[in-house]
Amino acid sequence: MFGKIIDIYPYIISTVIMLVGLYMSIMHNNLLKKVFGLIIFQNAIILFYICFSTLEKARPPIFNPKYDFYVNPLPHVLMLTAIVVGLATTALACALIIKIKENFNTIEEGEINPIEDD
Amino acid sequence: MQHFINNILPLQVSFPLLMGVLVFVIRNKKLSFFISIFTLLVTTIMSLVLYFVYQKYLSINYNISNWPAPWGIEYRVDSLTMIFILLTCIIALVSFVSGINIQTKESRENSFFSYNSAYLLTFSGFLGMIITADVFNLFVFLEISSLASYILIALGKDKQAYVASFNYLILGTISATFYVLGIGIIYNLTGTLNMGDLQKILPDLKIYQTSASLGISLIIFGLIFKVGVFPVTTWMTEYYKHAPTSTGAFLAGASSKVALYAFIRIVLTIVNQDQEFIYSYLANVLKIVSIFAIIFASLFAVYKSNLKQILAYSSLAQMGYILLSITILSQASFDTGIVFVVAHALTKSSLMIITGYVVYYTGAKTISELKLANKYNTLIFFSYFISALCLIGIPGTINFNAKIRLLNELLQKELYIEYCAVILGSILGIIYMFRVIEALWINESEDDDEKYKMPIMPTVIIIALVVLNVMLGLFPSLLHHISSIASEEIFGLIINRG
Repeated sequence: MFGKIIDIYPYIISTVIMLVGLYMSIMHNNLLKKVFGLIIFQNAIILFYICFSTLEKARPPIFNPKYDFYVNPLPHVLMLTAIVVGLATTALACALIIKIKENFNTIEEGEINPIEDD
Repeated sequence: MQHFINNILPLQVSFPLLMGVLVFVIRNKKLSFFISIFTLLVTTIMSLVLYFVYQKYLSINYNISNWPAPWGIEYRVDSLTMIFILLTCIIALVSFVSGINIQTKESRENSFFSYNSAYLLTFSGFLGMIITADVFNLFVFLEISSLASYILIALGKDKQAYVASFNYLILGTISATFYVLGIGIIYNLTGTLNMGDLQKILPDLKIYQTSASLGISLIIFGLIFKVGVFPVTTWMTEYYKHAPTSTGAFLAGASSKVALYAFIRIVLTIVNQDQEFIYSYLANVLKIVSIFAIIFASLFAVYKSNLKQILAYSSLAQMGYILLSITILSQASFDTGIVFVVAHALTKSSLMIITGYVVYYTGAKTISELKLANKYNTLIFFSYFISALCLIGIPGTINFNAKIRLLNELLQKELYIEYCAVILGSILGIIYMFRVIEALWINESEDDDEKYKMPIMPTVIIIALVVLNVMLGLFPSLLHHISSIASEEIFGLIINRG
């Protein structure tokens, strides 16, 4: 039982972080904190990918005739892409927040004039 | 020659991508504008060339960097892809050209270069999503198109546009992240990202079927946001409201269609018939969702008074029809779904263009303001009238063909609740469209000296869109001959495996 938990604990951690980030990005009123939540959420996914691509006693994927057991590099490469995408999203979100601050003089969601419904 | 033709496939995506950057760097208004139009034209022509090649071979492959398919990224064109590529190219070109007269006045100051650049980037992202046969590559293009479209929406002159764009960004990123998570689970189980490969491996997973269903559910959950299925769509109605004319027309016509394409690809070609999941569970849930979408989105459209928001809710209802015809899961109804997609893209783009001009010239954003506004010329009235008739689906338009076929399908399968929902949705459709038409017709303003003229370019385009709509409606075989191949490809494949 205990050994099983040890085996899957990275998954549990990544799931918990994911939920924290998701909750934060949906429920928080402050726009900047929403973005932070988003970053946490994305990073949890990256952690998840890294978890399942780890192999014990495997070599880095550089060819060497002495070894024949390598880590699969693909998930790591995918996550590099995902990190770049996350960076772009964060940058754009921050730019939008600056503009919202300039125009509405607040970054609290409740204080921005409610969108008139017609 | 063969070699040259194969290279069109990656060019289709990378050409607008490169030009999108170039347009931003040049800093010369005329040149930048000229290059944008040129890029859109060339890409559209390339898609037509691709269409002729497709007619010869029926499927075109391209392996990036010559890595064979399961290892490298594969670009792939078949019938379904071809329909969506042509549609996206035409909508992008048409929306860009029709907005040129008022684009700079409708957007923020000094936003000309970013507008051109973001437009081309969105366009290339959409094409990439359609062409690629690799699920992770699809995510990358999804993000390229989404990021660029957030910028496009934020360029609207209204300061609420920033808020609309920000909300879209949060929801869009959450949905894309769910999509990546789903892919992670699927990749963990199968060890491949190629769609064709997944299709072979997924059904044989046996004991891991539950985990695979979880992954697929997450992917579908992510894509549902982007498609714009009714309850999760406040972002969509907001961007319809605040985006400038050409942006609105482009996104209304293309963005949800492209997401829908990804949805169809993943649900219908990767997940197969012998997976119980899609038949016993997913199809039923989506059916209920689409019934809700048809009825409630139409009701909302009847009650809203903002001109653009009415169109947004009507789009949501149309999405309901499309989803309904896809979730019946038969070859004929899938064919109907494709016809619906084409119909919606054409009519909604032309309606968005006309509404953009009406709002720009009269300054009236809601129906009551429109009734009091100055005289509008008859041309606008008639173009709106005819496009609205296309949307409602009078005989002789594509929508009519699609609706009749959908109703037939529903009767054959004895799905009476869905039948009633479609009928009710159509009646509500007549009501909300005629509210706008009435407001356009009535003229309660005091002075009627001031008349404005609709510029030539958008007029020509709207007429062309309406003519295309009616032509495809009167001669359904034009569209049928490609859509039937697409549905046969998808469903024939499922039956063979099943």
